Amino acid sequence: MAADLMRTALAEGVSLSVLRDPKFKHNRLSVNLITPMDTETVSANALLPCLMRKGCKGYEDFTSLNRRLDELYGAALIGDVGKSGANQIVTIGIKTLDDRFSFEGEALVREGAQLVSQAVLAPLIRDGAFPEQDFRLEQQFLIDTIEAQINDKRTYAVARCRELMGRGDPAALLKYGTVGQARALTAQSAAQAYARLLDNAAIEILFVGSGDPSEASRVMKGAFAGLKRHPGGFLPAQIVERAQQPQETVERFDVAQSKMVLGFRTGGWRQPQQQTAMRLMTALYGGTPSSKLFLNVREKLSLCYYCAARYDRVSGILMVDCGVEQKNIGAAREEILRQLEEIRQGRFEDETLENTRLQLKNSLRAVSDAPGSLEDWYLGRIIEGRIVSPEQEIRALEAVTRDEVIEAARQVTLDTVYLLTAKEDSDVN
Amino acid sequence: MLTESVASRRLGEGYTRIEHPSGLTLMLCPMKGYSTAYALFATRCGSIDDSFSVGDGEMVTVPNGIAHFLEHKLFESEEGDAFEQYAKTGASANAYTSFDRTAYLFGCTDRFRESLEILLNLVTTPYFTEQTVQKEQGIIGQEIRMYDDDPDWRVYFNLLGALYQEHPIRIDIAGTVESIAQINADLLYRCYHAFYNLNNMVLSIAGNFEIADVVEACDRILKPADPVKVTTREIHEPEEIRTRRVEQVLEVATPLFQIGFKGRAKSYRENILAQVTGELVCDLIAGESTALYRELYDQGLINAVFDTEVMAGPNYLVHIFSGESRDPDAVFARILEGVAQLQKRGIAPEDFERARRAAYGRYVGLYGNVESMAGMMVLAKLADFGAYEPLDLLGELTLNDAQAFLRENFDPDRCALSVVRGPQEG
Repeated sequence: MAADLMRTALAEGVSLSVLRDPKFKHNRLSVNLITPMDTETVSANALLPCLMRKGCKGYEDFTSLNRRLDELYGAALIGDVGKSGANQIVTIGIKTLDDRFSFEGEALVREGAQLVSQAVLAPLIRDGAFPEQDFRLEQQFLIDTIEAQINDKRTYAVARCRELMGRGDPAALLKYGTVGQARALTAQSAAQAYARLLDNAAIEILFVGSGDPSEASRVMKGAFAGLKRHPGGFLPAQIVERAQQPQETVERFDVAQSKMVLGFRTGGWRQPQQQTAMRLMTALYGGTPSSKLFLNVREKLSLCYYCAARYDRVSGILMVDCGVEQKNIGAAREEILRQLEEIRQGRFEDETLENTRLQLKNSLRAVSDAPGSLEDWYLGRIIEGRIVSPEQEIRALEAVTRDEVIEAARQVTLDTVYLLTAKEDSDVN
Repeated sequence: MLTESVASRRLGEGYTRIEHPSGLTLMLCPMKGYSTAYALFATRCGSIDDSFSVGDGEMVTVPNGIAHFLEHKLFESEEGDAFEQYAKTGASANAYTSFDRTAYLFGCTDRFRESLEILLNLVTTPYFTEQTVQKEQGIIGQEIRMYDDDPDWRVYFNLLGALYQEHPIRIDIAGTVESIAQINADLLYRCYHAFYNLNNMVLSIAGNFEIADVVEACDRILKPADPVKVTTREIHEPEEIRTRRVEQVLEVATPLFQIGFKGRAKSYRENILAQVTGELVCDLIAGESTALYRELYDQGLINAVFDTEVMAGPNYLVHIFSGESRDPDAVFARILEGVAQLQKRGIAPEDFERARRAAYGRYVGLYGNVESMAGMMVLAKLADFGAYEPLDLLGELTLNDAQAFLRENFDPDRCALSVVRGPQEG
């Protein structure tokens, strides 16, 4: 079994969290630079992991960097941008094969850690700018990524609804920013953004795997020693407790099937136990294949191909998204709201609630079976400022009562309806 | 009961293969320290199995999409939806149909025996009526339309349609709205009795469970089946491709492309194992460590979405280079050039060794994950190889093997380009 998370401070504003489990065959080491979401910097920060993934001191071009990764048994160097509430997260990480499986006993944990520390601290910046060609390509890729979000209509519709609900809150910014912001960047301004991020980010380093983390710890401690930084803390999200009049937005595209997203506020529930109750209520409503939305809206009435609810406790937003034929939009919306009302009125079986609880427990336990999901779990908890293990969350879930679930549903108010639909007001065949 | 232990010297672990008296093959790999048990109950019946005969009977042709339709319908019983049954045990359950197989699965961390019982009953108790078939036609019809809008799905099937003239992998797994309209309860039962005979199936489980519990459940629930011989139609796929270029307009920001090389398909087993070598050769042609990748990237012809992939199964073997590009035709031309050059001058020994290590490291990972381990064991039974053979193959692969593979399977006359572009780019 996995041991508990061990946290140590490596430098001011730099923490290392370690979770060891002998069952894994790989080790993951990630350096997460965390900073408040801000319209001014969101796109620049989103570009940085792409530029940092291109090369670093010792491996100054993409080809030599990748050849090095191949030598390290196909190590994956990860450059990513994410967000948690009002915080943007720039991640550089590496996944390496555990030393015990290498052909010649190479020290892959150490070699991997050295490569990551170079990628984070010694990117290719000369004369105050990233290489012009790399910059142009990655900038174009960022613009393409933002534009490509419309390729995946389901994801796009959810992101649009979230954006509409934010009404200017930085936490509602898309994690890549906008095309306009991305276009305004230069090789110099990106290098400045890097310097600023390195100076003021809170840095969380995570090691998850079967190997010995002491080599990784030593490399990282050495890398950050003597670096003068001014790290800040994590920002809590602004939570709107209650919706006023629901806002409706319709956007039209060339699609055969429409996507509808209903965005709800979940009241002032911020206590951990209340959030756990809201999570269970959301699962009962539309989080599992035996949920009210799945069984009624999809299976019984065949109104939607998919219809699911999700809850983000950081922003206090609950969303229902569905794929629906144009002629069924009104009926689907009515039925989705009716199912919420059913929960508010306590019209659900105890057995269904228990089954839902079981399924949530199942997915929480499964977190410990993959290094990547453990990393995501603990980074999320660290940023929220309350480090609980999946096992602790399971115990909290066991304590939620039926009345708390009903009360949770009563907190929920409809804020925004976003509809992505066909260009013509007729059914496309 | 025939029991065999299969071990990997390289990993220091193994699994157990049991021929159960019911006829079913059990592939069981308990994995220490894992919370999840992951079970797959699978049959060699996929979307490509559109014509078959049982015993000495005559060849029957069934509508496209019937394997997938059958999968949807088996997920239901007289007592209702399987999801409802699994809900009581907390397992997360699903099913999928691919070109060459159908699998029913669940993952759980608790109440394994109850979930296994549901799985065994579900797959061995067909229940279809004309009413439930009709309702499903509506649901699957919507699913098909959803895929019609999906650029990634379209660019892929358009490629297969360009490369293959006869092979049914050119047809969408779910079929078409028209083909599924011809499906009825009688056809479903005929398919079921042919392909869901226990002697032709496999139960594969990896992770947190006890072997004795599985054997006990199989003893109790499974009724021994007489072996039947199912013959699927012979596929006479011509050497030549159908067309070299295919394009479709859909709502996308940057054009998507897939470039495919139609490989020399051999036996099912050989094709599946060829996938391992194929992936490595694709990496040597245009992987991130190659000069070609860098050239394409630096000229803005590809971006980080670029990827390579090998698809293998009965009578097919395809090597795919895919991505987004403003000029897919230029990427196609450069990949062809790159292949020709590599064939001419040969793979450099140091490049080969690096690619082999990289592939090896990635494959080790597959055996440390309950889902991929269970999946590997299913394929091992269906295509008749040992689940650790891919890893051993990589441990022993030589430069000459890779050279020969490159010459044989990357023929400039047997490749095609599929493009999906947005309406604004006309």
